[in-house]
Order: sequence, then C-alpha cells, then structure tokens
Amino acid sequence: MNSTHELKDNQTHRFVRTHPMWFKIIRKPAFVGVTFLLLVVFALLLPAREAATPAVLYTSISFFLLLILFWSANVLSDSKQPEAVKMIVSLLLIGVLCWLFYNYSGAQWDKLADFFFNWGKLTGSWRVLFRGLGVTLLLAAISAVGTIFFGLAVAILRQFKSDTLNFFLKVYVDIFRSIPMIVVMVVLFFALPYAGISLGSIVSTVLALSLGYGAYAAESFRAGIEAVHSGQIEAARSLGLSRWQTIRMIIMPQAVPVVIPPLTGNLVAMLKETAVASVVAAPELLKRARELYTSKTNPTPLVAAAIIYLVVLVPLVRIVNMLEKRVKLK
Amino acid sequence: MTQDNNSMETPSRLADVKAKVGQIPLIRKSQFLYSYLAFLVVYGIFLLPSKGSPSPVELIIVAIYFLLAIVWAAIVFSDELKSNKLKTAIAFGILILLGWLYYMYSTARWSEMSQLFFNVEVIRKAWPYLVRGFWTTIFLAIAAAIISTILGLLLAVFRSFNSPVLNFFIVLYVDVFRAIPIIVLMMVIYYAFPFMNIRLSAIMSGIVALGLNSSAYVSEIFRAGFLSIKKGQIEAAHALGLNAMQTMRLVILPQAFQVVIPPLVGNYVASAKDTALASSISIIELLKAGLAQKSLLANPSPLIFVTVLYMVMFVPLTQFSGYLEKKMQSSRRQVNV
Amino acid sequence: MNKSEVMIETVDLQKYFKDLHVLKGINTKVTRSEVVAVMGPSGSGKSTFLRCLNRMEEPTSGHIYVEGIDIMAPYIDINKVRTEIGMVFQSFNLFPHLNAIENIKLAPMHVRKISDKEATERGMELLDKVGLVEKALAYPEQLSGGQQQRIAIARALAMQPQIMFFDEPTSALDPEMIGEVLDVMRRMAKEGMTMIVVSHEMGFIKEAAGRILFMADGVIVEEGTPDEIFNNSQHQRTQDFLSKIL
Repeated sequence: MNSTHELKDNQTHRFVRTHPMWFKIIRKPAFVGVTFLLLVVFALLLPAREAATPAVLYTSISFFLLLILFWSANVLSDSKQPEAVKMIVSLLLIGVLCWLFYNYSGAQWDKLADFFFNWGKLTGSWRVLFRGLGVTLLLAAISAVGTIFFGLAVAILRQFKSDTLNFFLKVYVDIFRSIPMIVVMVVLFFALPYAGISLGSIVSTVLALSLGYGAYAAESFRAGIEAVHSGQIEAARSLGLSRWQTIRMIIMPQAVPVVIPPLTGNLVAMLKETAVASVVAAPELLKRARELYTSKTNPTPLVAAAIIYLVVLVPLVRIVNMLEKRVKLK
Repeated sequence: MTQDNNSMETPSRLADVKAKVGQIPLIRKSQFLYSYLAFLVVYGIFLLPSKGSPSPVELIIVAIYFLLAIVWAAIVFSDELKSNKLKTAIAFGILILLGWLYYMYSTARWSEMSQLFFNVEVIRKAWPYLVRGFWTTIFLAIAAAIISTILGLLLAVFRSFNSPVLNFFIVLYVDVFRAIPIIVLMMVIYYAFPFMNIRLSAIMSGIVALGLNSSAYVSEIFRAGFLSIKKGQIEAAHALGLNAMQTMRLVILPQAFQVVIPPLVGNYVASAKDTALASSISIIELLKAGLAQKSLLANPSPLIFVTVLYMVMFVPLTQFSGYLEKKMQSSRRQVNV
Repeated sequence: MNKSEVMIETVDLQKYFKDLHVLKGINTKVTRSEVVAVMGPSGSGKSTFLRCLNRMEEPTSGHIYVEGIDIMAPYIDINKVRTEIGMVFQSFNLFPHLNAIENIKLAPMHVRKISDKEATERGMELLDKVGLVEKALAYPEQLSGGQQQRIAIARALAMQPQIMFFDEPTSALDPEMIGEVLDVMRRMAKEGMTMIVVSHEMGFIKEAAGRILFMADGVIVEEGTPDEIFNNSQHQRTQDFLSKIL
C-alpha cells in the first residue's frame, strides 16, 4: 500500500518551495565548474593595460568583474555548499580583485616602498606630525567642552517652555545641523575679519565645531531628558524635593546612561572633523602633513597622517557602535 | 472649635512658612529690580568707554557690564510670577544690548557693512562662477551617491553570505572608511597616489573619496535592512505558496525598502554636504567658487551668498530626512504592537 | 489634636486649561482625620482638583488654604508645604534607579535632613506597616503593581505628612492586587490620617469614607456621607452616575 506521504519521482510535495528551473541549474556543481573554467579563460584573454583602448579595457574589465561577482555569489549563497568550498571561493574572490587592481590600476608598484614608506628622508617629520596630533587632540578637547556646553544649554533652555525661546532654539539647531562644518569654519575665519572680528584659526575652529556639534548634542541630551517619565518628576516634587534636587537625584541618574552613547558619537564625529580645520590654517595633524608634503615633495607624511587618524579613530568608532548597540538591545 | 484635652497641640511644621506669607524675597522686590536696572543705565552712560577699539582694561569694564546685565536678566527670568511677555521683551533687550556693544566697540566700518556683506553688484559679477560651482556640487553629490549605493549594496550582499574570510575584509573596509576623515582621504588620493602613478583628476579623486566613505555607511544600512526581515516572514510567505521570486518581490523588498530608505536618504544628504570638503583639493564646487570669488573681488559677499545657499539647500533636505526617520519609527512601532 | 481643625479649604477654586474650563468654582473644607472620597465621571475634574491642592497643577484663580496658609501667595515656599502632603499616584511613579528602601529614604534624608541611619530605621518600620519588609532591597521592576503601590504609599508616609492624597491609586492594578492596597489605606484611615481619595472603589468608599464629593463637569454636584449619597442622593446626575457604576 502506498503511503500517501511518499512522493513519486516527478511530483513535488505541495508544501515544498518550488524553485524556478534556472535556479536549480545554476546550483548544479557541473554548472559551477564549467563557468569557473570559462572565467579562467576570460581572465587569461583580458588585454594588457597598454594593449587596448581605454573604452575596450574598461568594458571588458567591468564585464569580467560582474561575472566574477555573480559566480562567487552563486556559490556563496548556496547553503548546500560545504564551508571549505566557500572559504576557497572567498579567498579566490579577494585574490582576483587584488590581481585586477594590481594589473590595471596603472600603479608603479616598485615605487610603492620608495614613496610611501620613505622614512629615511624624513628625519624630524614624526615629531612635527605628533605635535600636529597634539593640536588636533587639544582642539577636540576644547571643542568637546563647547559642544557639551551648547548642547546642554539648548536642552535646559527648552525646559522653560517658552514659545519664543523654543523658536530661536529650533532655528539654531536646524541651521547648524544642515550647514556643512567647513562652511562655518571658512565664514568665521575668512569673512568675519571684514566685520572687524578677527578670530584666529583655533578660535574659529573651536567655535564652529562647538556650535555645529552642539546642535547634534542638543538632540542627544533631549533624548536623555525625555527618557525620564514626567510622573517621576511629579512624585519627586510632591515629596517636597526642590527643582534642583529633582534634577540632581532623579533626572540625571536616569538621563545620563541614555545620553552617553549618542553624545559619544557626536564627540567622535567632531574629532574626525578637526581635520577640516587644516583649511583655515589651524596647525593640526593634517595641516602639518600637508606642509611636510609640500616642503619635501614626499607623500609619506600624508600617508602617515592618514594612518595616525585611523589608529585613533577606528577604535573610537567601534566603541561608539558598541555603545549604541547596547542601548538598542535594551 | 473644641480643644481635645488629651493631646497637646504640636506646633505646625509649617509655622515659618506661615510667618513668611506675604513676604517677598529681596531679589524679587520691584524696588530692587528697578534700582539694579537704574544702576545698569548709569553704568552704561557714565562708566562705559567711548566708541572705538577698547584697550584691555576698557574691555574688562565692558565685559563686566554685559555680565551684570545678563545677571539682571537671569533674575527676572527665574521669577515664575513675571509674565512671558516681559521675559521675551527682556530677551530682545539683551540682544539689542549685545548689538549696541558690538556697534560701539568693534572695528567694523559700519557704513561699509552692507556694501561688504550683501553687495549685489559683486554677487552679480561672481554669479556665473557660482552657478558653475553649484552644478559641480550637484554632480559630485549624485556621482558619489550612485557609486556608494552600488558598492554598498554589493558589500551588503556579500556580507549576507556570512563567509568568515569575506566578512573580515568587508568589516575592515567599513571600519577604515567610516573612521578616516573624508578630507584626509581626498588628499591622500589626490596628492599621494600620483606618486604611485595612480593619477586621478581632482574631480575623480573627490568622487572616489566621497563614494568610498559613503559606501561604508550604505553597506551598513543595507545590512540592517536585510537583517530586519524576520525569518517568520519568509516562512509565512512560503506557507502561503509564494515562490522565491514572489516572496522577494511582494514580501521582502517592500519591507526592506521601508527600513532602508530613511537612513539612506539621510546618508545621501550627509554625503552631499561633504562635497564642500572637495574645495580643499581644488575642485571648483560651490564653496571653492565662493572663496575664489571673494579673493578675486576682495569682497566677502560671494562667500556669504554661498553660505545662505547651503542653508537654503540643506535645511529643507535635513528636515525631510528627519521626517522620513520619524515616519519609519512610528510605522514600525505600529507593526510591532 | 484639634479634631475639627481645618486642614484644607478651597474658596472658588477655578482652573482653565487654555480655553477648557475644568474647575468651575470649588468650595470645600477638609478637617483633620476626615476621609474624603471624590467620585465622578471621567473629565469631571476630580484629578485636577486634587492636584491643585498641592499646586501640582497651577490654579487659575481662587484660594487654597493648607493648615490655614494661603498657598497661592506669591513667593511661598511650596516645597515646604508639599512635605506636609503625601501623594500617591495612579501609575505609582517609583524611582526605577533606586530600590524600595532607597525610594523611601530619599526625601526624608534630603528634605527633612535626617540621618541615613534614622531614615533607614523609619523606612523599615513603614515597610513593615505595608507588609513588604522582605522587599526592601528590591527594585521597582522586580515588584508587582500592588507591591509597587504599597511602597509608594510608604514613600509618601516617610515624610510624616499631615494629609494624604490618593489619585486613583488602584486604577492601574490587576484586580487581585487591589485588595492589598485598599487594606493599607483602610488601616491609615482607622489610625486617623486625613485623606482625600479620588477613586472608583465603591466598597472602600462605602466603608472608609466619612464624606463623599460627587463631581461632574467641574463642579461639586453633591456631597454628603456615604449613606446619603448612595441611598438618598438628591441630584439626577448623581443617580445617573451611581446607576452606571453599581
């Protein structure tokens, strides 16, 4: 007796997903293998960099790239492929991408060591760069105080619930969240002198960063304050606690954990933005690197500065991400 | 009122509150406030230095004056019983005072101020260059947006394959291009790469830098979009008989869209703002055009105009982006209920 | 103690929320050890009335006298006045970042300035009184609604107020927890605490209230003893309301 659950060969169970025909074909190992070989042939047939017109070159490379991506996506998205195969494909993909870049970017690789890591010619440059880093960190520290000041001021002034005041606060926050920081710095440094106000490069930078990121910080503080239910404030006041006591003992302990992740994000973004201060001649890291580059016609200081920025900022950005994720989990 | 003989009448703890009813604290008394105000007026008339650039000592006198005025305003502001109209008037008064002090003591040449900052003639002369700069900015923004979307999508797709090797490189890419300041990236590409014989024009350097940076954020946005599709949705769709294509088209993509669009728009707007950084590698976009014209015509009006233009462009865009984010939050909240 | 000492008196208390006339002239007195229940349909203004009495809401006009002090006087130290009035809220409003005993100790230590040791002792006594000694170190999120409300009552009592306000104290509780809170309130009434209770709990009101204020549309429609109100009400509005509830 045939069990009703047994399937005949050409039947599919009613509740099993039906794939389109083509989907089944491309998953077959034979297909994968054949296409792989075709791609290898294609790769070998790719013209050398100098041998073809740019149009032909770019089209053929793009086409090749597309096919590579589709092929590896096909393998990697197949849950039935063993992990080992997937790992090999991944490594292959990375390898091919590197090979393409190596062959076709026009880079003179022998010059790589010479010009990027040419420290021999650059005695004393490290000291200049690190002094620039010191100025960067100093700028960031002062601007952090300014950012928190403006952000907190806006958050506190909002508590007065005055319509006119709220209007001006909204205007401030809206403008400084929209306008690019570099524009603010440039206006403060280059345009204000015509009005008789000559702020130095450092003051312009600190003011621009504090005003700009203060606007973002204001939103972070607002989130913190709103995290405390108004009912608790009522309960505190009904017990006879003064406004200041309520703020200190009820609002702040609960608002601070909510404020810290986004505020840290604001401050790290602000630290990144200090590099822009090089445009208004602040003697921070990037400016120093540019000066060294111009005076010694050597790109190494620029690369070194980029690496220093990465070393400082990658951990910070990761920390900010972690903090924000932890809040989302709650 | 009969006295209960069995208990003593304990003195009320509010005795001193009762005693003080009707008493007005000193700083709230009108006499105090008026005399303070009179003092400020007298100070203003007799003690402030005369018009012109102040010496350090005179600067301190002016600063103290302003501080005292702020304190007076703060006292009035902290009084709950004073009307809001009065407080608004005082706030404006402080602003007017600030303007007046500035008028008295800065080295500005006032007759020339409007000529300097809002000079229509100068702007008219600079106009063609500013317009060209504007279109360059638009071009940069759009090119960077296209590149970053394609790259970001690719990265997110390959990230979803969960291959440890690929993930390592993708995460490395995202970390590096989110951490490095765009202006540093632009300079390395434009100034340092030529030494390796990778010569990109200024515009290409700008587009590449903007695109790389933005793509890191876009990939995270798409990744969040992919992850936001709950497994149950796919199972439910299959239970209903939808095949893979239909599931993608009718169930997954619309939802992913909703999750992805608001932050994506926010990212494009932020990227468009970052085009202003391209001015540092001599790309003649809007900011650089404004700066160049300012130097050329020795008048800051073009720069001021450019600033206003940035505000006009980006305040609505930022508002719109914020509006989208709010809509997404509220609609998702309804779904989760 | 002067048994007929007037604790709270209102004279023509009016409250507008923008254009909405919520309280249209409330005149009433509450004497010491009186338990006054305030009933009425939603929107009648009963919660607003209660909250005006310690100026948690600002009255638009009228006079309020607490222990003979006009609390509408300008520049009065309202915080001191509030120490004499304890308030219990519908949504408990315990401080989530503090545990039970810390919630109770906070105000006595920082407002009455008593020592930590003394505040803890008194706090534990109060916890005993509401039957929650073993929960002294628990945080609000670890407690049931009924437990939280009892802690809220203990917190209000820690200030040794002369009057206690209850703003719908059981309306947010699951039915099985209402009883434990009403027990505490019943005991307080027996011990002679002056109480003003806004509530729908008819059983409690019938048993413990000395006087009932029936409010509707911003006025006191009728007031009297439970017997008078429940069995012999004089106004149609009151009868309508009672028929819907009972």
